[in-house]
Amino acid sequence: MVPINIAIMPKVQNNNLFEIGSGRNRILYRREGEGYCVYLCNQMKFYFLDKISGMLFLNHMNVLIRNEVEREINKTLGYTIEPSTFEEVKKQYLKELPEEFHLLFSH
Amino acid sequence: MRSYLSAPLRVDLNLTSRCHLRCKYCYASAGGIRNETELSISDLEKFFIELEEMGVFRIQLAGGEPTMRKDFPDILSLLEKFKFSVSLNTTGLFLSKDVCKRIAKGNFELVTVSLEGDTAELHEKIKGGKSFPKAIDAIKALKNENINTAIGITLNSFNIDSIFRIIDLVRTLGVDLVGIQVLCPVGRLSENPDLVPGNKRYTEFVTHLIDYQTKNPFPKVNLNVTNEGPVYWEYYFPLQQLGKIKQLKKIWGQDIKHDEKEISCVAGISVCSVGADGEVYPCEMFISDINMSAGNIRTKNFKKIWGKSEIFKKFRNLKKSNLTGPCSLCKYRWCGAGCRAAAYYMTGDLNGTDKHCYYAQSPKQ
Repeated sequence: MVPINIAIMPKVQNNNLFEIGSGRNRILYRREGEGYCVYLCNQMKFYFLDKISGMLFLNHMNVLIRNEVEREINKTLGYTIEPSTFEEVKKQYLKELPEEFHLLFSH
Repeated sequence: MRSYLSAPLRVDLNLTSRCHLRCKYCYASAGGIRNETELSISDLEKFFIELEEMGVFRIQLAGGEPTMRKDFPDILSLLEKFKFSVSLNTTGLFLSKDVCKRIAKGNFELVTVSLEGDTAELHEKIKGGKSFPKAIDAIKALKNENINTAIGITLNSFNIDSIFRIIDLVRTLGVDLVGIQVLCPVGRLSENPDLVPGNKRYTEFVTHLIDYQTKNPFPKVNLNVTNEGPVYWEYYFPLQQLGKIKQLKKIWGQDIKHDEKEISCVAGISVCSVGADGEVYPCEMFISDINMSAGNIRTKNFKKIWGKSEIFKKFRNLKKSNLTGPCSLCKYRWCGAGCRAAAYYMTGDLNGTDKHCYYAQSPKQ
């Protein structure tokens, strides 16, 4: 009889925990309802971001590509962002995030 | 029903109920040999996979004394496979240099060593055993591995006059954070009510703490309370008595919402606790009470327990309009009704009054 090796696949489907970076400065995030929930490990603090703020934040952290964010803004807010104004819109949204995020951006 | 999250932000996981010490305030009434089967490594692995799938950010290992488990190094290895952040509460009794090296390799954001006094006499009067030198050695070993280290002090009538000496002591050891825990009248504390400092001593302490923090920014000192609401009465009333209530935001980072409509207790909303035997509770303050179990992760899927259990529904259905006693008459609308565990264990009713609150003890409407 030929032995059959059954590979046990790690159970990772539908995983809702994502990380950015490593070590003490890691950021964890997950989808929560329509928006995002973010955990700054070095601050040990949780934050809730609405969908657009969350997507712009993730784009800023190089996790989401710009096209995806633009598409979502178009769908959610009902208007198209011109490529030339995207960075300006993002800057304004990021300004509104809690001050702990600003510390993150300054590093 | 109050809205709740798709998954807890933080899960407190008691790895064991065993403990060498018999702290007079222990909310878990930990100690001795319990007639329970602790979660095995494979139980924990199955649970952690589920937590990660749900998106839980933080696991807080507690007990009993979690490091008493013989397989604690295996648990550390297991945790390295997962993304969530980990913190550990310990007496430090079994934190060897090797264990600290293993902790340094993992996703640990904080290790908190319990320290109740600046001398062996005071520390051991509260915790029992010959525990002071080992706690100090544990702090040194953790800092030697550059691990983010805190000490946890429970604010009680024995050590309330020594808190600043404890902070001065641990500053010399390089401790990053001091967490001062305000007592909650559950577990073994209900047999030791003399440990609770009265209103006057508490207010004097908070006054000194505010002053001390201004002059000594390091280490950071947090005053931790069990009711995780928008405004804590433990912060509000001392500042009110000092005529400094306008500085609530500056001193404690809390904003007064004058018309808070909901109960603020976060048990079953964004946190829960799991006992050493796998029973799930709304928060760690209920962990010694099987009647408050929402189900067991050995026999039920955690996601189902979180989403469907009747106990969690009770917490999610708490309403200010259903409160009884002084809490129902309170004129301070910013308050989210204090700690529901304190209310439950002092009145027998989840809708009862958190009699721990100074205003509830003598309300003037």
